[in-house]
Amino acid sequence: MTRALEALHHTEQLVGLAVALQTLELFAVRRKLGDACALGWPAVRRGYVRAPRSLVRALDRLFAARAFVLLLAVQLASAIGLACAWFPHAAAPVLVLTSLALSVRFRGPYNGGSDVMTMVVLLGVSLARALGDERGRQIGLGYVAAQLVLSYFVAGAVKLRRAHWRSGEALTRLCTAGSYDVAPFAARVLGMPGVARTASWAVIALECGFPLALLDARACAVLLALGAGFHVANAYVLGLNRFLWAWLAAYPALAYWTALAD
Amino acid sequence: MKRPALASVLAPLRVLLPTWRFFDDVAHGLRLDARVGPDADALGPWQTVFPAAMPRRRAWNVLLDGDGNLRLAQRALLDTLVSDLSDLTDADDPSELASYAQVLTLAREVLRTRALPEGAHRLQVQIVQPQEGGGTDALLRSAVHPLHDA
Repeated sequence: MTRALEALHHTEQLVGLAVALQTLELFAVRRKLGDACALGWPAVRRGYVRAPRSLVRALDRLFAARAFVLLLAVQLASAIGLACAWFPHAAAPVLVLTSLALSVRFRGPYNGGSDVMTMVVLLGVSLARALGDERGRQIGLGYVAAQLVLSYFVAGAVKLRRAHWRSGEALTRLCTAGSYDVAPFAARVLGMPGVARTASWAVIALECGFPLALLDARACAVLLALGAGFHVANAYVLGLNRFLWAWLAAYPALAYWTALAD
Repeated sequence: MKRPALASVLAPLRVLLPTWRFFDDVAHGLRLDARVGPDADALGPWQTVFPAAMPRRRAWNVLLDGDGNLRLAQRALLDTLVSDLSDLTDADDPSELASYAQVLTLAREVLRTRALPEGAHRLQVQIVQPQEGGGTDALLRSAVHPLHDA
Protein backbone atom coordinates (compact mmCIF):
# COMPACT_ATOMS: atom_id res chain seq x y z
CA MET A 1 0.00 0.00 0.00
CA THR A 2 1.38 3.43 -0.95
CA ARG A 3 1.63 6.18 1.64
CA ALA A 4 -1.02 8.21 -0.20
CA LEU A 5 -3.44 5.28 -0.17
CA GLU A 6 -2.74 4.70 3.52
CA ALA A 7 -3.39 8.38 4.30
CA LEU A 8 -6.57 8.24 2.22
CA HIS A 9 -7.76 5.20 4.20
CA HIS A 10 -7.18 6.98 7.51
CA THR A 11 -8.98 10.08 6.21
CA GLU A 12 -11.93 7.95 5.09
CA GLN A 13 -12.12 6.17 8.44
CA LEU A 14 -12.14 9.43 10.37
CA VAL A 15 -14.58 11.32 8.14
CA GLY A 16 -16.83 8.26 8.09
CA LEU A 17 -16.83 8.33 11.89
CA ALA A 18 -17.49 12.09 11.93
CA VAL A 19 -20.48 11.82 9.59
CA ALA A 20 -21.84 8.77 11.43
CA LEU A 21 -21.78 10.71 14.72
CA GLN A 22 -23.40 13.77 13.11
CA THR A 23 -26.14 11.56 11.66
CA LEU A 24 -26.80 9.79 14.96
CA GLU A 25 -27.22 13.21 16.58
CA LEU A 26 -29.84 14.16 14.00
CA PHE A 27 -31.61 10.81 14.54
CA ALA A 28 -31.65 11.51 18.27
CA VAL A 29 -33.38 14.89 17.88
CA ARG A 30 -35.54 14.08 14.82
CA ARG A 31 -38.79 14.68 16.74
CA LYS A 32 -37.55 18.17 17.61
CA LEU A 33 -37.12 18.75 13.89
CA GLY A 34 -40.77 17.85 13.25
CA ASP A 35 -43.38 19.88 11.40
CA ALA A 36 -44.40 22.03 14.39
CA CYS A 37 -40.81 22.95 15.27
CA ALA A 38 -38.64 25.94 14.36
CA LEU A 39 -36.27 23.73 12.38
CA GLY A 40 -39.11 21.66 10.92
CA TRP A 41 -39.48 21.59 7.15
CA PRO A 42 -42.70 23.71 7.00
CA ALA A 43 -40.87 26.58 8.76
CA VAL A 44 -37.64 26.18 6.77
CA ARG A 45 -39.40 25.92 3.37
CA ARG A 46 -40.67 29.50 3.72
CA GLY A 47 -37.11 30.46 2.81
CA TYR A 48 -37.64 28.89 -0.61
CA VAL A 49 -40.83 30.82 -1.35
CA ARG A 50 -39.16 32.49 -4.33
CA ALA A 51 -37.69 29.25 -5.69
CA PRO A 52 -39.33 27.54 -8.69
CA ARG A 53 -42.47 25.67 -7.64
CA SER A 54 -41.33 22.42 -9.21
CA LEU A 55 -38.18 22.57 -7.06
CA VAL A 56 -40.16 23.26 -3.89
CA ARG A 57 -42.49 20.35 -4.65
CA ALA A 58 -39.47 18.07 -5.09
CA LEU A 59 -38.03 19.29 -1.78
CA ASP A 60 -41.39 18.69 -0.08
CA ARG A 61 -41.17 15.05 -1.11
CA LEU A 62 -37.50 14.72 -0.12
CA PHE A 63 -37.96 16.28 3.31
CA ALA A 64 -41.29 14.77 4.35
CA ALA A 65 -40.87 13.08 7.74
CA ARG A 66 -40.37 9.51 6.47
CA ALA A 67 -38.19 10.52 3.53
CA PHE A 68 -36.03 12.57 5.89
CA VAL A 69 -35.45 9.53 8.12
CA LEU A 70 -34.60 7.54 4.99
CA LEU A 71 -32.11 10.24 3.97
CA LEU A 72 -30.48 9.97 7.40
CA ALA A 73 -30.41 6.17 7.13
CA VAL A 74 -28.67 6.35 3.75
CA GLN A 75 -26.17 8.82 5.19
CA LEU A 76 -25.48 6.64 8.23
CA ALA A 77 -25.03 3.50 6.12
CA SER A 78 -22.69 5.32 3.73
CA ALA A 79 -20.68 6.79 6.61
CA ILE A 80 -20.23 3.36 8.19
CA GLY A 81 -19.38 1.94 4.76
CA LEU A 82 -16.72 4.61 4.25
CA ALA A 83 -15.26 4.15 7.73
CA CYS A 84 -15.07 0.38 7.25
CA ALA A 85 -13.74 0.62 3.64
CA TRP A 86 -16.65 -1.50 2.34
CA PHE A 87 -17.45 0.65 -0.69
CA PRO A 88 -15.18 3.71 -0.51
CA HIS A 89 -15.53 4.71 -4.19
CA ALA A 90 -19.29 5.15 -3.85
CA ALA A 91 -19.63 6.13 -0.20
CA ALA A 92 -17.85 9.49 -0.25
CA PRO A 93 -19.76 10.90 -3.26
CA VAL A 94 -23.03 9.69 -1.72
CA LEU A 95 -22.09 11.51 1.50
CA VAL A 96 -21.35 14.69 -0.47
CA LEU A 97 -24.88 14.48 -1.88
CA THR A 98 -26.59 13.68 1.43
CA SER A 99 -24.64 16.48 3.16
CA LEU A 100 -25.73 18.91 0.44
CA ALA A 101 -29.31 17.69 0.85
CA LEU A 102 -29.14 18.37 4.59
CA SER A 103 -27.78 21.84 3.88
CA VAL A 104 -30.80 22.44 1.64
CA ARG A 105 -33.07 20.97 4.36
CA PHE A 106 -31.79 23.46 6.95
CA ARG A 107 -31.20 26.27 4.43
CA GLY A 108 -27.49 26.37 5.21
CA PRO A 109 -25.09 24.34 7.34
CA TYR A 110 -26.84 22.84 10.39
CA ASN A 111 -23.76 23.27 12.53
CA GLY A 112 -21.72 25.97 10.80
CA GLY A 113 -17.99 25.40 10.35
CA SER A 114 -18.01 21.71 11.27
CA ASP A 115 -20.36 20.97 8.37
CA VAL A 116 -18.11 22.99 6.07
CA MET A 117 -14.95 21.09 7.12
CA THR A 118 -16.79 17.77 6.81
CA MET A 119 -17.71 18.75 3.26
CA VAL A 120 -14.10 19.76 2.51
CA VAL A 121 -12.87 16.32 3.57
CA LEU A 122 -15.65 14.49 1.71
CA LEU A 123 -14.88 16.43 -1.47
CA GLY A 124 -11.15 15.71 -1.14
CA VAL A 125 -11.76 11.99 -0.60
CA SER A 126 -14.25 11.86 -3.49
CA LEU A 127 -11.76 13.60 -5.77
CA ALA A 128 -8.97 11.22 -4.75
CA ARG A 129 -11.19 8.18 -5.43
CA ALA A 130 -12.51 9.58 -8.71
CA LEU A 131 -9.06 10.29 -10.09
CA GLY A 132 -7.98 6.86 -8.91
CA ASP A 133 -4.21 6.95 -9.32
CA GLU A 134 -1.42 8.07 -6.96
CA ARG A 135 -1.38 11.59 -8.43
CA GLY A 136 -5.16 11.85 -7.93
CA ARG A 137 -4.84 10.77 -4.31
CA GLN A 138 -2.18 13.43 -3.80
CA ILE A 139 -4.46 16.10 -5.29
CA GLY A 140 -7.43 15.07 -3.14
CA LEU A 141 -5.35 14.94 0.04
CA GLY A 142 -3.63 18.18 -0.93
CA TYR A 143 -6.96 19.98 -1.15
CA VAL A 144 -7.90 18.77 2.35
CA ALA A 145 -4.47 19.66 3.79
CA ALA A 146 -4.52 23.15 2.26
CA GLN A 147 -8.00 23.88 3.63
CA LEU A 148 -6.98 22.56 7.06
CA VAL A 149 -3.98 24.89 7.24
CA LEU A 150 -6.08 27.78 5.94
CA SER A 151 -8.81 27.10 8.49
CA TYR A 152 -6.43 27.64 11.39
CA PHE A 153 -4.43 30.46 9.82
CA VAL A 154 -7.43 32.57 8.73
CA ALA A 155 -9.12 32.08 12.11
CA GLY A 156 -5.91 33.13 13.88
CA ALA A 157 -5.23 36.12 11.63
CA VAL A 158 -8.78 37.40 12.16
CA LYS A 159 -8.32 37.18 15.94
CA LEU A 160 -4.90 38.81 15.81
CA ARG A 161 -6.38 41.86 14.08
CA ARG A 162 -9.01 42.32 16.79
CA ALA A 163 -8.04 44.28 19.91
CA HIS A 164 -10.63 42.48 22.03
CA TRP A 165 -9.00 39.14 21.16
CA ARG A 166 -5.50 40.40 21.94
CA SER A 167 -6.66 41.69 25.34
CA GLY A 168 -8.47 38.46 26.23
CA GLU A 169 -11.78 40.30 26.49
CA ALA A 170 -13.32 38.39 23.57
CA LEU A 171 -12.61 35.02 25.17
CA THR A 172 -14.09 36.17 28.48
CA ARG A 173 -17.16 37.47 26.65
CA LEU A 174 -17.45 34.25 24.66
CA CYS A 175 -17.54 32.28 27.89
CA THR A 176 -19.80 34.54 29.93
CA ALA A 177 -22.14 36.30 27.52
CA GLY A 178 -24.54 33.45 26.90
CA SER A 179 -23.69 32.88 23.24
CA TYR A 180 -22.62 29.32 24.01
CA ASP A 181 -23.48 26.74 26.64
CA VAL A 182 -20.17 27.12 28.45
CA ALA A 183 -19.15 24.61 31.10
CA PRO A 184 -19.45 26.46 34.47
CA PHE A 185 -15.90 25.66 35.60
CA ALA A 186 -14.44 26.92 32.31
CA ALA A 187 -16.56 30.07 32.49
CA ARG A 188 -15.18 30.83 35.97
CA VAL A 189 -11.56 30.24 34.96
CA LEU A 190 -11.74 32.11 31.65
CA GLY A 191 -13.61 34.92 33.38
CA MET A 192 -10.28 35.86 35.03
CA PRO A 193 -8.63 38.54 32.85
CA GLY A 194 -5.06 37.19 33.18
CA VAL A 195 -6.08 33.64 32.30
CA ALA A 196 -8.24 34.87 29.41
CA ARG A 197 -5.40 36.98 27.96
CA THR A 198 -2.92 34.09 28.19
CA ALA A 199 -5.40 31.64 26.69
CA SER A 200 -6.27 34.10 23.89
CA TRP A 201 -2.62 34.49 22.91
CA ALA A 202 -2.11 30.72 23.07
CA VAL A 203 -5.02 30.24 20.65
CA ILE A 204 -3.78 33.01 18.35
CA ALA A 205 -0.23 31.59 18.37
CA LEU A 206 -1.43 28.07 17.64
CA GLU A 207 -3.71 29.16 14.80
CA CYS A 208 -1.32 31.64 13.19
CA GLY A 209 1.61 29.24 13.59
CA PHE A 210 -0.18 26.29 12.04
CA PRO A 211 1.39 26.71 8.55
CA LEU A 212 4.70 25.71 10.21
CA ALA A 213 3.31 22.17 10.11
CA LEU A 214 4.05 22.14 6.39
CA LEU A 215 7.77 22.57 6.95
CA ASP A 216 8.75 19.60 9.07
CA ALA A 217 7.22 16.25 10.09
CA ARG A 218 8.06 16.73 13.78
CA ALA A 219 6.59 20.22 13.86
CA CYS A 220 3.53 18.80 12.11
CA ALA A 221 3.12 16.07 14.74
CA VAL A 222 3.39 18.62 17.57
CA LEU A 223 0.92 21.04 15.94
CA LEU A 224 -1.58 18.25 15.19
CA ALA A 225 -1.38 17.11 18.82
CA LEU A 226 -1.90 20.67 20.03
CA GLY A 227 -4.73 21.12 17.54
CA ALA A 228 -6.45 17.96 18.75
CA GLY A 229 -6.14 19.17 22.35
CA PHE A 230 -7.56 22.54 21.32
CA HIS A 231 -10.63 20.87 19.78
CA VAL A 232 -11.13 18.62 22.80
CA ALA A 233 -11.06 21.76 24.98
CA ASN A 234 -13.57 23.46 22.65
CA ALA A 235 -15.83 20.42 22.86
CA TYR A 236 -15.72 20.58 26.66
CA VAL A 237 -15.84 24.36 27.11
CA LEU A 238 -18.18 25.42 24.28
CA GLY A 239 -19.92 22.16 23.38
CA LEU A 240 -18.42 22.17 19.87
CA ASN A 241 -17.97 18.40 19.70
CA ARG A 242 -18.61 18.18 15.95
CA PHE A 243 -15.60 20.37 15.24
CA LEU A 244 -13.31 17.86 16.97
CA TRP A 245 -14.25 14.96 14.66
CA ALA A 246 -14.48 17.04 11.48
CA TRP A 247 -11.02 18.56 11.99
CA LEU A 248 -9.43 15.27 13.11
CA ALA A 249 -10.62 13.77 9.82
CA ALA A 250 -8.45 16.24 7.92
CA TYR A 251 -5.27 15.54 9.94
CA PRO A 252 -3.98 12.48 8.00
CA ALA A 253 -3.97 14.54 4.78
CA LEU A 254 -1.68 17.18 6.31
CA ALA A 255 0.57 14.56 7.92
CA TYR A 256 0.91 12.86 4.52
CA TRP A 257 1.79 16.07 2.66
CA THR A 258 4.31 17.17 5.26
CA ALA A 259 6.00 13.73 5.17
CA LEU A 260 6.07 13.91 1.37
CA ALA A 261 7.79 17.29 1.39
CA ASP A 262 10.19 16.33 4.21
CA MET B 1 -35.05 43.29 0.98
CA LYS B 2 -36.50 41.46 -2.01
CA ARG B 3 -33.91 38.79 -2.56
CA PRO B 4 -33.74 37.25 -5.98
CA ALA B 5 -34.98 33.70 -6.39
CA LEU B 6 -31.47 32.53 -7.20
CA ALA B 7 -30.07 33.74 -3.86
CA SER B 8 -32.66 31.83 -1.84
CA VAL B 9 -31.95 28.68 -3.81
CA LEU B 10 -28.19 29.07 -3.47
CA ALA B 11 -28.15 29.81 0.31
CA PRO B 12 -27.55 26.13 1.22
CA LEU B 13 -24.43 26.06 -0.95
CA ARG B 14 -22.63 28.03 1.77
CA VAL B 15 -21.52 24.61 2.98
CA LEU B 16 -19.25 24.47 -0.09
CA LEU B 17 -17.62 27.84 0.55
CA PRO B 18 -15.25 27.85 3.53
CA THR B 19 -14.51 31.22 5.11
CA TRP B 20 -12.91 30.04 8.39
CA ARG B 21 -13.57 33.36 10.15
CA PHE B 22 -14.48 31.85 13.51
CA PHE B 23 -15.46 34.19 16.35
CA ASP B 24 -14.47 37.25 14.35
CA ASP B 25 -16.85 39.39 16.37
CA VAL B 26 -17.91 38.17 19.80
CA ALA B 27 -21.11 39.82 20.98
CA HIS B 28 -23.36 39.08 23.92
CA GLY B 29 -25.72 36.21 23.14
CA LEU B 30 -29.18 37.10 21.93
CA ARG B 31 -32.20 36.20 24.04
CA LEU B 32 -35.73 35.43 22.92
CA ASP B 33 -38.51 36.63 25.23
CA ALA B 34 -42.23 36.08 24.87
CA ARG B 35 -45.45 37.12 26.55
CA VAL B 36 -48.88 35.61 26.20
CA GLY B 37 -52.42 36.60 27.06
CA PRO B 38 -56.07 36.36 26.04
CA ASP B 39 -55.76 39.28 23.62
CA ALA B 40 -53.35 41.94 22.42
CA ASP B 41 -54.31 44.40 25.19
CA ALA B 42 -53.91 41.94 28.04
CA LEU B 43 -50.57 40.26 27.58
CA GLY B 44 -48.73 38.97 30.64
CA PRO B 45 -45.14 39.65 31.69
CA TRP B 46 -42.18 38.88 29.45
CA GLN B 47 -40.58 35.50 30.02
CA THR B 48 -37.35 34.18 28.54
CA VAL B 49 -38.03 31.30 26.17
CA PHE B 50 -34.56 30.92 24.68
CA PRO B 51 -31.93 30.06 25.74
CA ALA B 52 -33.25 27.94 28.59
CA ALA B 53 -31.01 26.65 31.35
CA MET B 54 -28.20 24.53 29.96
CA PRO B 55 -28.37 20.80 30.73
CA ARG B 56 -25.24 19.41 32.37
CA ARG B 57 -22.64 18.37 29.82
CA ARG B 58 -21.46 14.76 30.14
CA ALA B 59 -18.14 13.25 29.07
CA TRP B 60 -19.81 11.25 26.28
CA ASN B 61 -21.14 14.50 24.79
CA VAL B 62 -17.70 14.80 23.15
CA LEU B 63 -18.94 11.93 20.96
CA LEU B 64 -22.64 12.69 20.74
CA ASP B 65 -24.52 15.82 21.75
CA GLY B 66 -27.69 15.97 19.70
CA ASP B 67 -29.50 18.33 22.06
CA GLY B 68 -26.49 20.64 22.43
CA ASN B 69 -26.06 20.98 18.68
CA LEU B 70 -29.81 21.47 18.22
CA ARG B 71 -29.56 24.39 20.68
CA LEU B 72 -26.72 25.86 18.63
CA ALA B 73 -28.83 25.54 15.46
CA GLN B 74 -31.80 27.19 17.21
CA ARG B 75 -29.54 29.94 18.51
CA ALA B 76 -28.35 30.56 14.94
CA LEU B 77 -31.98 31.29 14.00
CA LEU B 78 -31.93 34.38 16.24
CA ASP B 79 -28.66 35.56 14.64
CA THR B 80 -30.10 34.99 11.16
CA LEU B 81 -33.24 36.98 11.96
CA VAL B 82 -31.23 39.90 13.34
CA SER B 83 -29.03 39.82 10.24
CA ASP B 84 -32.11 39.68 7.97
CA LEU B 85 -33.70 42.60 9.83
CA SER B 86 -30.66 44.75 9.07
CA ASP B 87 -31.37 44.25 5.35
CA LEU B 88 -34.94 45.57 5.62
CA THR B 89 -36.12 48.96 4.51
CA ASP B 90 -38.85 50.85 6.37
CA ALA B 91 -41.36 49.68 3.78
CA ASP B 92 -40.63 45.99 4.38
CA ASP B 93 -42.67 43.80 6.68
CA PRO B 94 -40.42 41.68 8.97
CA SER B 95 -43.16 39.08 9.33
CA GLU B 96 -42.58 38.10 5.69
CA LEU B 97 -39.09 36.86 6.56
CA ALA B 98 -38.59 33.11 6.78
CA SER B 99 -36.33 33.64 9.80
CA TYR B 100 -39.10 35.63 11.55
CA ALA B 101 -41.49 32.71 11.10
CA GLN B 102 -38.87 30.30 12.41
CA VAL B 103 -38.20 32.37 15.52
CA LEU B 104 -41.95 32.70 16.17
CA THR B 105 -42.24 28.93 15.79
CA LEU B 106 -39.33 28.50 18.21
CA ALA B 107 -41.21 30.54 20.82
CA ARG B 108 -44.38 28.46 20.28
CA GLU B 109 -42.32 25.26 20.48
CA VAL B 110 -40.88 26.22 23.88
CA LEU B 111 -44.15 27.60 25.24
CA ARG B 112 -45.95 24.32 24.44
CA THR B 113 -43.82 22.73 27.16
CA ARG B 114 -44.77 25.33 29.79
CA ALA B 115 -47.82 25.88 31.96
CA LEU B 116 -49.51 28.97 30.51
CA PRO B 117 -52.38 31.06 31.92
CA GLU B 118 -55.80 29.76 31.00
CA GLY B 119 -57.29 31.52 28.00
CA ALA B 120 -53.93 32.59 26.60
CA HIS B 121 -54.41 32.73 22.84
CA ARG B 122 -52.11 35.55 21.78
CA LEU B 123 -48.35 35.78 21.65
CA GLN B 124 -45.76 38.52 21.25
CA VAL B 125 -42.01 37.94 21.07
CA GLN B 126 -38.95 40.12 21.32
CA ILE B 127 -35.27 39.57 20.64
CA VAL B 128 -33.10 41.12 23.29
CA GLN B 129 -29.40 41.92 23.15
CA PRO B 130 -27.86 42.11 26.65
CA GLN B 131 -25.47 45.05 26.98
CA GLU B 132 -22.05 45.30 28.63
CA GLY B 133 -23.25 47.33 31.63
CA GLY B 134 -26.15 45.00 32.42
CA GLY B 135 -28.93 46.66 30.41
CA THR B 136 -30.68 45.24 27.39
CA ASP B 137 -31.52 46.44 23.92
CA ALA B 138 -34.67 45.12 22.19
CA LEU B 139 -33.70 44.46 18.58
CA LEU B 140 -37.16 43.33 17.54
CA ARG B 141 -40.58 43.45 19.12
CA SER B 142 -43.03 41.47 17.04
CA ALA B 143 -46.66 42.13 16.26
CA VAL B 144 -49.14 40.12 18.32
CA HIS B 145 -49.76 36.69 16.78
CA PRO B 146 -51.93 33.68 17.59
CA LEU B 147 -50.28 31.56 20.27
CA HIS B 148 -51.12 28.41 18.36
CA ASP B 149 -50.13 28.21 14.73
CA ALA B 150 -53.02 27.84 12.29
